[in-house]
Amino acid sequence: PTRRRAARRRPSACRAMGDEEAAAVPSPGVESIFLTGGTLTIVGLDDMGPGLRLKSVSKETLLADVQYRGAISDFTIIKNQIGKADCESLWVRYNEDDVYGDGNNFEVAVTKAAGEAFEMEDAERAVAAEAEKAAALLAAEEHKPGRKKKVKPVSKPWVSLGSELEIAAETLVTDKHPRIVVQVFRKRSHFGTEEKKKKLADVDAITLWNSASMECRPFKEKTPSTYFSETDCATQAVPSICETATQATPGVSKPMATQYEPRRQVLESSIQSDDDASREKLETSQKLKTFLDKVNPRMRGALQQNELYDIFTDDFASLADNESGLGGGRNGGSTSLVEMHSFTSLKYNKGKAVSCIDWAPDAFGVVAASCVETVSFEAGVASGGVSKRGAVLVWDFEDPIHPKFVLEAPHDVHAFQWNPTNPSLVAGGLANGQVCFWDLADLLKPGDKVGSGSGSGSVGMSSGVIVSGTTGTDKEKQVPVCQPKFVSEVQESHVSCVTDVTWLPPDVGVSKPRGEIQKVLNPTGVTNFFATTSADGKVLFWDLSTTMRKDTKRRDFFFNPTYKIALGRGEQSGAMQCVKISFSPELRPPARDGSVSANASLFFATSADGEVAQCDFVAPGDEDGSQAGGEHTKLCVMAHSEAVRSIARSPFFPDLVITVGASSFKLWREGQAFPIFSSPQLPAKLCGCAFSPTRPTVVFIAKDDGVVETWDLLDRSHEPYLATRVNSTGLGPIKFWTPQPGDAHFHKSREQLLAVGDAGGVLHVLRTPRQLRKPKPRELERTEAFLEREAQRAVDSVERGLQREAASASREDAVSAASVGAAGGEEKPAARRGVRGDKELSEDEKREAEYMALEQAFMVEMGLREAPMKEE
Amino acid sequence: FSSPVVVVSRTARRTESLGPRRARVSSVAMSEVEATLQRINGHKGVLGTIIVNEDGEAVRATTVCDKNGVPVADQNAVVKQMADLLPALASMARNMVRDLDPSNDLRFLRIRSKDHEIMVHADTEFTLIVIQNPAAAE
Repeated sequence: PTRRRAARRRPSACRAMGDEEAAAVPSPGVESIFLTGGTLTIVGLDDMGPGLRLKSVSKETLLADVQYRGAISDFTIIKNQIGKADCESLWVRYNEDDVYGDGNNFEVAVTKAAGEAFEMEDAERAVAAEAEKAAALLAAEEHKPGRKKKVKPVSKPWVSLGSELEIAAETLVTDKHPRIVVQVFRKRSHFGTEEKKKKLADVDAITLWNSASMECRPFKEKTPSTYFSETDCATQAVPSICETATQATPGVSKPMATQYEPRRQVLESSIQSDDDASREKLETSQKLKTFLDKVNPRMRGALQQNELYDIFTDDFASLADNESGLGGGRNGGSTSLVEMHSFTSLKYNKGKAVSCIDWAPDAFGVVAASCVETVSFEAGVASGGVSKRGAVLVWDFEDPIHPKFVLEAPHDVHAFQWNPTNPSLVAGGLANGQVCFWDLADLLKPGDKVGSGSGSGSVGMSSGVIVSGTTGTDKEKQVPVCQPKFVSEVQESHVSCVTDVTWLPPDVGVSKPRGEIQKVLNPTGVTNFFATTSADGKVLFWDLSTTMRKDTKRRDFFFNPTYKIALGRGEQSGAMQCVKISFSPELRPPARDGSVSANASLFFATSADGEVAQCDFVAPGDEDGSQAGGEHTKLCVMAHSEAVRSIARSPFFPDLVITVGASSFKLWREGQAFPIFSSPQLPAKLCGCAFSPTRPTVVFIAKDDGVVETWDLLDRSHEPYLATRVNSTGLGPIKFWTPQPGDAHFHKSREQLLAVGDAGGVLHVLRTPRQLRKPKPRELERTEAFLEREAQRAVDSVERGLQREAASASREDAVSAASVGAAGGEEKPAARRGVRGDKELSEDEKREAEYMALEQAFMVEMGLREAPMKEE
Repeated sequence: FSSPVVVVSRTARRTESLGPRRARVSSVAMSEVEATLQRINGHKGVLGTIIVNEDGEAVRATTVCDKNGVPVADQNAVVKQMADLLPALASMARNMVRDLDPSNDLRFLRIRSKDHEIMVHADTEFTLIVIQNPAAAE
């Protein structure tokens, strides 16, 4: 018999099965035995195996086996137990896995209880096996392809990840304290009284809510138990937009029509009216028609003639000018000033210089010049103030040797001027400050004018006129001499010599005390006022009308100024030593309503120190009329380095003046503190200036070397356009002949005459060439543009000058600051330099001084030197 | 300056009340007169045209402008002045011409002033005055 031994399993494996019966001890009533195959066959258990685990076998069988086979039977061991078994059939279980660990493969239940236990276990095992089979079937089904795999949640044992703590923290209900259990009992019969026994019923809490019988009411907790620790909130900025709409209702459209008739004057009678037309009216229109037919061609011819050709144009005037470059061949002096006449008198003018020139108004060819002694200051002092008689010579072109008249004066006449409206009056200023006045009316025959006739020797014997002595024979011409009619009071006049005499425009009067321009009640167009200025800085205004009323018969020769002003020098102190003044062309009599133009009382004044000032003769400010009023000088500019000898106003630009002094000339505008244009420094000194009366851009300058220069500012502004030598000794004032449109000889104004006085007492009359007379096309506009440009440039350069000053000042500050810092660094070199004794710049000296001070302080501190000690 | 020719509607109505032939002539005459006047007035530079009858009344006058072309403010006064002054002057000129030579006669009178030129054609019955600014005409 082959012993069918069950595979021996390791005992650990058996135990790891988790079998309840880990202990290898068979339960009571269960015997573990080893049965061989033979035994099984004999007993009939050979079909037992894993498939059939449990089988019952009768007791007799087993006992029979034991009896038969004796000691070799497997059951002999448990013979006793079998004998004692209380049931007839014993269960035998296949012990596949060596449960008891003794190598036995079978178990025998020898008691009934054990047998039942075997049966129960077997049933359980069968159930488990079926469950397994079902599970296996399911698994097999799931494993089939094409079906989603449902992951069956596998219940895993819970692994704590620490959430118990959170939960513990949040639990409100804890088991910290024992729960209180309250039980309330009441006998049911005790509910309610005898009459009404309450029936206890259930009511929903929701029906009781907020009713009177609500038992448990909500209440507000005093302190909130929960509070927000964090809230999320959001804001959105929404632009406030609103949409609105309006409807503009267009106006009610209405049809409109206008119909017009041309405005024409028609005599009513010539138009046929609605009522019955008379034959007359009809014929009228017929006549009109025939008349017009007749007239029409001729009239249209005339109109066409006008259209085609202007018969009144002056061809020569509109002829274009050639440039002067080509010309010059035909007429020798066509491009330069030609000297036409020269006048000098040996008797009066020997050794004198011309001081002032004036053309006689309303006359052609009559020019007057005054000559003054040219003595140096020492000679004048030596002569001790003895006054020499002075004279104004009036020349006529017809006689170059003898003057037409001589106006004598007690002293040298430095300045004079003809009265522009009354040609027989001449005002003059003398060397001692007095002002005198000639009246030629006495000299001329009645009805004669100054310009008429030659200077014949007619002598008037009226009072106040002293006949000049007849020096020569009767054959010689005697020159009429006129003495001044009126002379000013010495006390009321100027203190030093009168330098300029100017007549004010006609009908202008200056009133006391403030110098306002007077309103003349009957404007007669006569010039009555003149102004004088002198080196003592005063401007005096003299009134002629009151003077003329004085009676000369009573020897009342003296007259007084009406109004005085004193000119200061602006910011500097002291009186301005006036040389020339020039009044504004806006000086006019007040308008009908009494208003005066703002700039009317401004005038330019030039001084002997080279200043150009703009002053106002109306006293500023004070209402109480105090004499010590405000300042008359509005603007005072240092212009030239020497005396400003002449000033002239441009006839085209009323606020433009030219001043001449030292070696240059400058153009000024009213109201500006710097010149618009300055000429370059010229080699000679300048004496006189004049604007050309016809060309806006031409300026004539007289120089000390005897040359008259013509400057064309548009052409070249760095050198003269033309230079004409007049003489070799030097020139004086120059003046153009400017006939006014009302004069008798205006037609001769095609000739432009320039009178030039020279330092030798000779008066020259030059004629300007045609090209200096005729203005070039658009010259006025170009000159305006030039002046604008220059003005802007001047403004700009002033500003830039200020900027540069500021920049250089800041640079200097920086340099000085740097030098202070650098001084400490240089010690030995500075000392050495000091020892060497070189010529040093002041900077080095400064540094040296600083170093020595530093060294001194250092030494004292160190105790090497006592405090004040001489330095080595 | 040149005003459009306006045919007065009255003439149209006239055709009914008058005889047909006469009315046509009159209306034609009227429009021709107007047309001629407009042609004269339309010349370059013409400032105004006035027709004066022998009584010294202005029969026709266009809008009189001053030398810049701006209509004069007081039209009636200007026209009246012209109508008063110029025929007298024309007759004086005619007298002078005939005095010099009796067979001669004044044909045309042109007065050239600073601002404008006045051309006068004087007849026994009517006087035509045209004012032109020659500078504008050129």
